[in-house]
Amino acid sequence: MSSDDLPASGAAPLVARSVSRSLGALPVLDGIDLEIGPGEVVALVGPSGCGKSTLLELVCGLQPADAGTVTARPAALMPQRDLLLPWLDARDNVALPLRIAGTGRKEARGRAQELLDHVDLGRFARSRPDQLSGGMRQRVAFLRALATDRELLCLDEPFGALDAITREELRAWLARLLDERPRGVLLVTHDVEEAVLLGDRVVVLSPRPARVTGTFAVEGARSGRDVADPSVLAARTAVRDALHDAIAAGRGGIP
Amino acid sequence: MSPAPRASRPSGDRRPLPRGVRVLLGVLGPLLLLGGWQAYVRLADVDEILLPAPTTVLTALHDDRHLLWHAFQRTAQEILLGLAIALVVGALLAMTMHLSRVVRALLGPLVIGTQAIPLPVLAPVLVFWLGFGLAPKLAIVAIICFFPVTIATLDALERVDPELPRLLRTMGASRLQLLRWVELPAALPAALSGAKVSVAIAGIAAIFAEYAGYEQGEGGLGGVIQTAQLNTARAFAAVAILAVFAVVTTGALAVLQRLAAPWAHSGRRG
Ligand SMILES: Nc1ncnc2c1ncn2[C@@H]1O[C@H](COP(=O)(O)OP(=O)(O)OP(=O)(O)O)[C@@H](O)[C@H]1O
Ligand SMILES: [Mg+2]
Repeated sequence: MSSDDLPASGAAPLVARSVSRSLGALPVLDGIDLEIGPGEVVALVGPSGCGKSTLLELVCGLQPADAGTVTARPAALMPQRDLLLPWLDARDNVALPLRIAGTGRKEARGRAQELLDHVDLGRFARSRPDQLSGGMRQRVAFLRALATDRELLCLDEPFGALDAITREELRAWLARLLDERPRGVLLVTHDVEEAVLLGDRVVVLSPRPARVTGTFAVEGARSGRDVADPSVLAARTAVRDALHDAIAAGRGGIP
Repeated sequence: MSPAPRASRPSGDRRPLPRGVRVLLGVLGPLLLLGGWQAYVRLADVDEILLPAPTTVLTALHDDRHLLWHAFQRTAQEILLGLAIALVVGALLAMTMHLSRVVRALLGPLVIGTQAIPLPVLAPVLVFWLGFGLAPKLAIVAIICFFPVTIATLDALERVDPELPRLLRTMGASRLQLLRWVELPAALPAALSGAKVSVAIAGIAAIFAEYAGYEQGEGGLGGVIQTAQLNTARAFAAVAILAVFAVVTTGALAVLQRLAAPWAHSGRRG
């Protein structure tokens, strides 16, 4: 399993070689090769149900690979469903990974409050998840993943439940954050634009069982990027075409 | 002009009644019952040794107030302490059964089996073991009451989203930390719910315990009922006290539940 063989610090946070995985009789991942360098952001796009969340679980050590190897540094996971603890308020939910890592209550709460203030949720620090909107809950879950200083972040559709404006704001905030404090990020998203705005590379997956059908590099510093940049536009077109091709090939492949 | 269509309402009206109305209705229900009862006894000329009229019971409540108050204190102590023991033991039992499949397989049938023992069989045996004092009464109340607590707690632990422990594992949580952050908070409101279910049977258990281990002068309300003989009104007065106490205790547990586990109640989705 991933966390058993840690790479030396400073090495690539994630190296996955020919990883395959079946759930029961269902092949979900089929020989995935994926590498994330230190501070590199890799966006993962693929058709719905192709196995993206499964791949993230493998990287986080929640599932074993059936074949191939996953070598990953301990990762912070932001799951697709927010999975906030209903009995903790927003602040304590964000502080949870710190508490589990042994940080004292006061310090952990202070850090959580800072993070909440950053995304305009400071006022809701003492609200429980059932008192927050879906978008707020997602931001809290996002902060919880950021709270620990892990070298690898696994984000599963982090902005999926947000409105367009908040989505853009948070995307910019994440871009700045990652430029200030680079970490390896594996970002699953349905949104091609988000992928090319945040990713250093975009990896396109085929329909289930997932294979890597293409990898696209995006030029330029993350926080300076704009949708209108020629390089961003070019990457977006390339990724979208690759995704369409992958889906079309998948359909054609079904007998 | 056709009338505007009314917003359709789901068949069961889930909006809570205003507090005042709720209290009023809660008092009105028993009053209606008592009124009917009074009319029946008077109009049908029922022998009051068999069924005393509410007003006769009220008189007994007043005349025997010292005796009843003394007895009530004893019985209330048995009920509350017995319930507390049931809550702690029941919740601990559920936790242990949840944590260990072996314990669960070992104790599961036993736990259900204890509930099949009729009180009149159980009570004398415990009195024989534990003597006359408070101990056998607490044991009887606890044995009868832990079951709903255990079942409710186990059920809540089963229903914890299995993704939660998995997520905490990615944070490096130990088994103890899982218990602290996920399982205990999930179990707490359920255990209190179970205790609420137990309140009414706790009264019955305490009365039976007092019958079986009758102590002169310390027989509690059970002793009052047992020694009332032809003074049926006094026995009914004892029962009335038990009923009111059950309502009050259940209310107190509901308040405790709100304080200890607010997430299980309020909130936008209520
Ligand atoms: N426990 C399971 N047992 C069997 N099959 C499963 C299980 N969990 C997921 N699957 C299947 O595995 C496939 C991959 O699931 P996964 O959640 O990884 O997809 P995904 O790419 O994240 O999808 P989405 O984009 O909708 O989030 C899906 O087709 C799903 O039906
Ligand atoms: Mg998914």
